[in-house]
Amino acid sequence: MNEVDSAPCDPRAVEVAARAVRRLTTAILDARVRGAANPDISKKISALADRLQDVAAEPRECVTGETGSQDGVLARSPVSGSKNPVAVPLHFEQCEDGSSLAHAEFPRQYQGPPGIVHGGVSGLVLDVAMAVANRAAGRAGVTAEMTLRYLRPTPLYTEVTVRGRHVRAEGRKVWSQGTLEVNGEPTVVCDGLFIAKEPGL
Amino acid sequence: MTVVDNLSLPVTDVELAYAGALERDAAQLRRIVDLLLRVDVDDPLLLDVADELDVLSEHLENPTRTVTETIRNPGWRHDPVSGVENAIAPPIVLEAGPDGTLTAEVEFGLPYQGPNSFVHGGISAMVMDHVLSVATAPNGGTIFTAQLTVRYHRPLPLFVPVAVVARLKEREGRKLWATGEIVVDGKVAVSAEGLFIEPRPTPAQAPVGSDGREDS
Repeated sequence: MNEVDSAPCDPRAVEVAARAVRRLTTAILDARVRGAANPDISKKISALADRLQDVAAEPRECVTGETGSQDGVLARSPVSGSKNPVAVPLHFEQCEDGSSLAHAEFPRQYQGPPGIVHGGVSGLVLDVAMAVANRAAGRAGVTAEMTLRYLRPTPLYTEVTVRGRHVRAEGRKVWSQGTLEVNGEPTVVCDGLFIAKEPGL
Repeated sequence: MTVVDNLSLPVTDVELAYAGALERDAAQLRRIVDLLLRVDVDDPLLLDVADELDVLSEHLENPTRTVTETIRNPGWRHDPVSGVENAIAPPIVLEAGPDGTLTAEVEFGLPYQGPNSFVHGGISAMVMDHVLSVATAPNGGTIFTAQLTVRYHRPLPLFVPVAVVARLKEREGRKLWATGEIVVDGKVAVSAEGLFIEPRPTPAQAPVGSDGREDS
């Protein structure tokens, strides 16, 4: 298997910070569930945000994802981005048959119904799983349509296998599929239609 | 206009203060989510920030600190789309019009970016799933997506106000159908239709209030 987006051996400072943000995001939600005393730590968080604000570039200057000694698009992704706390993050690998594969455990910030991964989160990660498989097939493009079918609940805090597969292409149209699996059982299946940047051969 | 979220607000003073504190925490942490994408990745300040955030996590994670009051099911306050207590949610807080149509205005920032300057397609799918499900369960009840189709009509730009719209189309027993759009400059950028299923009422859920939410 090839690593599609490399898992860093030595985390950058921003990745360390992103991990801390993910942890606190979970802790705030857990605090509510458990009823922790004195949860108001907003002034302390605000002071830290102010310090970062002092050295931050304007948002519109950062759309290429290459601020400072920045490294690229994958790191910023809301699914696989190691520096984006919205991302779990997932590390996709490319299997020998060209399909994409990632494993994830979703903490509480991805919750929809109690104890269950939000249905929209499944759509978010499957869109990327299919896009990664299409890119591996030389058919990178944008999503045109996606249909998700939810077969059974996907639990939080449980290993979920995320797969994407390039199915076929016709001109610039590219069909793909994706699945989430728990204990070998599919929980969500997905069909995607993408439009490739380049027409097929 | 009624803010849909009101229906899932806590009811006691203690709960209200508590929820307010968590909402403030998440709002400030949300600033940091955005700022991480706007600073030099090797800035040593980031390590200080990480250390201090970890201290705050330890404080909240301490399992011995508890209050006795029941904290109710947070309804739509926790989820990754409209959850005001969830730092990774934009958050999208919907309002219900007189005909029951839900709307929200939101500007997506860098954490939700896919192609340069545009919202990630998967984020649009997540938002659509969520707002359609709220249209089927506006009081914060549990609802499960059975099928969702999302269509992408044009790119959705970052940093501009976009309208998110959702409505319940049909109900048949526990099956509910909803549709919605994300609209920019009066044009539909993303549209979606979904089938949602209400859970079967169980004896454990019987003693909840008329809004159908469970106590945690």
